[in-house]
Amino acid sequence: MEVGTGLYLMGLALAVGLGLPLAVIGAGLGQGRAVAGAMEGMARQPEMAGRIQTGMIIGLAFIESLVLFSFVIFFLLQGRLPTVSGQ
Amino acid sequence: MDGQLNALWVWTQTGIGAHVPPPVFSVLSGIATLALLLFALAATRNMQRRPGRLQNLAEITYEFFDNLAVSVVGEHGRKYVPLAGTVFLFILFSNLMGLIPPGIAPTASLNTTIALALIVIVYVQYEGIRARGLGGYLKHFARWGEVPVLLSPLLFVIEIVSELAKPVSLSIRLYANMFGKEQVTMALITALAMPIFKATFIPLPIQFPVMLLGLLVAFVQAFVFSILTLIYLALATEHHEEHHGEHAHAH
Repeated sequence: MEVGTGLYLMGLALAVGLGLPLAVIGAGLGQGRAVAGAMEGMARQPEMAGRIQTGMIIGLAFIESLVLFSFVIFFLLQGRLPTVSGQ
Repeated sequence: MDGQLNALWVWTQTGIGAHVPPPVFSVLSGIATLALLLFALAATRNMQRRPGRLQNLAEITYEFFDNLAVSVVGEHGRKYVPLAGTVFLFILFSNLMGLIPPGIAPTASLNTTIALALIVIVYVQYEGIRARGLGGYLKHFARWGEVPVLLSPLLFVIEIVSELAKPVSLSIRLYANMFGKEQVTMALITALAMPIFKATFIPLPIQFPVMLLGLLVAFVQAFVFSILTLIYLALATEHHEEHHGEHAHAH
């Protein structure tokens, strides 16, 4: 195998393996902050809980969609990985 | 024989997400539409003053979206209830179809979700032009009168791009959620449940927690899609509403 091909496959494998977890870490931190803020708001003003919850769910969906974009890219990249016949 | 058995097993458990030809999704969407049509007919035929079960369910759903539309869009949001409610019911029913074992969710195909997002976005543009007129619609993109004149062309380009990003993010969010759920279910089955079954003949439902999560996701994503529809409609027609408010104030 050529060096270039090897480097390409290595980069591809790293991207497939690390891309999604990195996105998940970022989105997890972001969603944590969002939910913390919403909970604080609900605790301070229980009468607004319904509207805060609606807003929180929309915000969470927006943050989550970023992960899902990288999930789609993960699937596109995964299809380009060669299969290795075992042992 | 072994391969066929594997394929059959995976099919009965997940309905296979990956290699389904697109026409299957069209047929399934048709089934979902037909079921909703039958539900609507059954719920509204022979309506009573004291509602029965079906009519009650339909009324609760409608009232929920009526309240939601009024709180998001304002008083003129009532006429968007049919669109948002239909989108919600169709997506919810489609998502739930994926949870009954031999079924596939029609929304796990990008074709279905892009069609839904295009319907919504084209309607939003139509409503925006109707509420503001063609000139006001274009001025809204440039934020004319809200920002310095020199910034307007730049903002116009940015707003056009963000408007084009709306259908993309709407459709990919729904598709990736449903497709991801099916893929994770299938991965758990092929990697864990299937070897255990072949070795010990004990069919352990290892994918069950993911399918429970899928039940939650089915509701949340349907709700998110329809509330985003309402929010986009509110953004496209907000000037109109403002005008209305001033008008009412003047009286």
